[in-house]
Amino acid sequence: MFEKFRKKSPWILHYNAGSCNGCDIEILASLAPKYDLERFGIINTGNPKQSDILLVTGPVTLKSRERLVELYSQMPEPKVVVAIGVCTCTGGVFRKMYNVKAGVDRYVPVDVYVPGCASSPDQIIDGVVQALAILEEKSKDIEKPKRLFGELTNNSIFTNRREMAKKIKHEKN
Amino acid sequence: MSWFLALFAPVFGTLVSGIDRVVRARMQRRLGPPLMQPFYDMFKLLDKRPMMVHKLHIVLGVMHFMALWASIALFMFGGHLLYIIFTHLLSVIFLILAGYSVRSPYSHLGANRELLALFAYEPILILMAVGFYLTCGSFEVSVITSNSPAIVSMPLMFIALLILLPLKLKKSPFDAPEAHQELCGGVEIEYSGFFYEVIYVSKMTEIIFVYALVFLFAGQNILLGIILVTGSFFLVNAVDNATGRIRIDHLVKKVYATAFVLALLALGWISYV
Amino acid sequence: MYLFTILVGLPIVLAVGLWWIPFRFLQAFMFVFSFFVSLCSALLFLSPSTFSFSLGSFFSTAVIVIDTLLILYFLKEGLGLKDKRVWILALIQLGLFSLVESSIGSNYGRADFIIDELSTFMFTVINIVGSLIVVYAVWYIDKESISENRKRFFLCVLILFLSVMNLIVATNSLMLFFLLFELTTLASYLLIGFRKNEISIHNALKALWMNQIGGVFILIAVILGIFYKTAPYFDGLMENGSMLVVVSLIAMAGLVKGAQIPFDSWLLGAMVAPSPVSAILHSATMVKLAPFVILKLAPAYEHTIVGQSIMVFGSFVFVIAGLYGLSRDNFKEILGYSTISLLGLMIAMATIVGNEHKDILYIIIFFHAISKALLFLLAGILEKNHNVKNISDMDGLLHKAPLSTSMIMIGFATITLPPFGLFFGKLFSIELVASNMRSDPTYLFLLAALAVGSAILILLYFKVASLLFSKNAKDEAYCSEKPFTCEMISPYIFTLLLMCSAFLIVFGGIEIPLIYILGSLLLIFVIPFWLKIDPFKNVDRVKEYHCGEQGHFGVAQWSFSFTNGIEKTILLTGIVAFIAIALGGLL
Repeated sequence: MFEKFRKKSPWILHYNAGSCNGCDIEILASLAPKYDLERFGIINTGNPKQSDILLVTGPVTLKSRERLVELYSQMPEPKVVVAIGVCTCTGGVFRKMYNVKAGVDRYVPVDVYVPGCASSPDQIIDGVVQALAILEEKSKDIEKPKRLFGELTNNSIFTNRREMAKKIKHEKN
Repeated sequence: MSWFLALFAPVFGTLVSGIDRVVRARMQRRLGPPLMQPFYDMFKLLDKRPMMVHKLHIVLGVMHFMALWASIALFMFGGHLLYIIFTHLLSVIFLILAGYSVRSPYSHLGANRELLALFAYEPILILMAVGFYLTCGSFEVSVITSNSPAIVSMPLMFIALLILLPLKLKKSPFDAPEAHQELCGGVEIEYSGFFYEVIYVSKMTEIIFVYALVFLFAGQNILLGIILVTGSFFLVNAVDNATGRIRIDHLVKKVYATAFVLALLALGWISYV
Repeated sequence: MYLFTILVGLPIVLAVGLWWIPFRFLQAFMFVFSFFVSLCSALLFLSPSTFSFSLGSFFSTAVIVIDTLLILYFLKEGLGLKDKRVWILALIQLGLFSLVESSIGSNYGRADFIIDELSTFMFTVINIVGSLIVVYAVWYIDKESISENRKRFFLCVLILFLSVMNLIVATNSLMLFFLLFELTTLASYLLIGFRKNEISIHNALKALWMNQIGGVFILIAVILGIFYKTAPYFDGLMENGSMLVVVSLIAMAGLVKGAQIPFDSWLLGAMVAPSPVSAILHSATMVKLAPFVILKLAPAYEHTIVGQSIMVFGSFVFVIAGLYGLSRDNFKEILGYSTISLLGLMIAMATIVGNEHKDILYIIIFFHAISKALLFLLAGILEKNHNVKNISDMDGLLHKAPLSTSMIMIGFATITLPPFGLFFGKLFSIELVASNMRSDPTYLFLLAALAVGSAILILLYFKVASLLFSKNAKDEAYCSEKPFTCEMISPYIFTLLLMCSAFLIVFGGIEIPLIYILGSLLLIFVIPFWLKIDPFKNVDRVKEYHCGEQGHFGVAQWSFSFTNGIEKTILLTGIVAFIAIALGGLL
């Protein structure tokens, strides 16, 4: 009943997973008055609990991946993930470096890949608009990250459904 | 009429908030969101999967909204102004306790700042109520609204209220309790989905409460009331766009140094001159 | 008359009798005693009648003997514990006392005791609140590791103190007032120093010499009264307008008892005493002598500079003491400062309520006594059962001790929020000040103090609540706290009284629209029921937002304190205020 309002007010969470800040600046540029993403009702909330779209930039360093997973799992469904920039999509020039695995989709499911180094605001807006179409289709079932980090006992992502959490591959770092 | 106003206060508040966002965008030469954007936000929030930190947190948030609504209802039915202010105080205390009830640094900081902001504006609201009593002879809102405009006899008190407006509406320069860039919203941070909607609606309802206080200064003159509310609405938005945020301790000091002194001067003026 | 005899006599009988009652039956005895004296005082209060009587000549000799012995005891303590101030003040008192006794006329033809509405009201406060605290004290003192005789001695002093308080609010003669004033000082001294360690003896001596200054004020007042040919009786002071300095000296003695600012440190020091002592002496009954004396003498200085300076001083203390409380960490010290602050409010209101609005002051005094007694008793419970004294240790207390914590929250709410007793007291005060605003420019000061002081108290209490409430997402289940234990009896009764405080006010004849009371009660008490029903059972739980970090995050508290220079200024202001009150009397 309220599905059609999903794309009218998508709130954004922006996470920098070890990016060079090139893509971050472009994201902020598209939120700023020139491109004015607020005309679509888009707000940069900075809080996973109230946002619908996760914009990830950067090649996901080993330090940042557990935060990424934690933030992802704190977002309420329906939610979409947009990987911004080529590093985020595949690892880019950092692929196979000692502190980087390849791309964000090893950790969380990604819905839209936006290429470019750095992606331009037009591309980003285009990617977000495509993500909105996906967001409208999504169900409210729980979406799990592909891996969990840290101690499982300490990790209360699914406090009610610990069983479900156990099925996810778990890495201790 | 009172029933209608009291019952639909959240809806009006949401509408005002929509206008507010458009006006602010236009002041920055942007297009801004559609007028009904806050409604879209609300419907979207209803659609999210509910999540919560713990029960008490949620219950206190809901009670915050209820108490706020009750204070607005009291206002619309022409109740006693002091009781209205204290019911509003009760609602703010619920929100602060909700902020304290979760073990989250942002929420705690937000609640602390909210408490300090309460300390800054509460005395001035009380002094304002006494000012209305001295000019109109009663604390009852129904009597105040059937008297001649109070702004004529206490313009200083009106200026004091104008200083409080950004504080109550969480706008620059007095938006330290909410501070989206540093605290991500302060006390409201741990709410999500439907539960955040309750807090969101109560923010909208708060707008109505604040502008109702502004309207009170016009007494029976409805036209003057509309002018006052519109004027202060644009003023608050202009100030919001033109200023940066100040620190919470500066906030308390500045409000006391300006609004509190003005309120006392206004009271002294009415009583002894 | 019979009822008054019971109120004075029964505690004395019980104080003697308790040495033979086995300790395990003591609480039951106390409860029965509490029931009787509460009933008697309530009956006295509800049947308004003024009556007076005098003591025989045997008693007046006894009074002189007891007085002399008391001052000699203070002298001995001062010399024995090598405290200069105590023995010097005792010597001064001895000199002044002999001067008074040599020059006082023997027969003024006035009653020694007059029991009027104010006295009967004070009886209800003293007996209902005080005796219930004694019930609790039995449990508390049983937990201390001291000999049984000392435990009995403690209870004996507490009960005798009730009798003394009952006498002091009924007395009309200033010499009797002096004796009883010194007896309350003695009770304070003995009970603060009860634990006999270094700090408690130090603080007990501090309380002693500060209160002795109050005694000196009374003696000087009596001497001046004799010099100006006034009878040293309360009703004598009211008759003649020229005796303002005598009145202001007595009022100053009251202010010392009420721990107003230059003398606030004794009340803070008194917080080392066992919790029931803090509850009964230092918040619920003894310190209430300050507003009592001010209200009793109010007709004598109405519309004079003395009245105005007391009012301004009281409102000043109301604000400043609250700010002092913000710097403290010890729970009992915070309660102590908020007591001083509210006493300031009571004193300021006592000067302006006049005869027709006494009810407002009654509301403030009565419900303040109950709220503070409740909070102090719970502080004792936390200390004994959960080993928590400072608010920085109270992290997540709601989880550890849900019952006590909710009662603490009720205590906080009753002082600051609608629809409870003390809140209505403040609200009516604002209304009263507003309606008399035009008559006197100093009212503006009182109004500002009322507005700011209430906000400061909100700040103070809910700052404490910040740690009490914080709770992890994971720990859902609350620890269970045994609800039916002997220490909980008195807190339950106090909580019950507080919850229906608004109805008590309505019953007492002040009109409050019922919808406000019911509405705000509903808003507050829907919360526990809602938690019980738990409509969100199947909702997903998430962790708090920590920017994605997984570690544990603690929460801390802020505090606010004055710089040294300002503290000195405040102290100086207090001293100046006292001098101003005395000078105002002289001019």
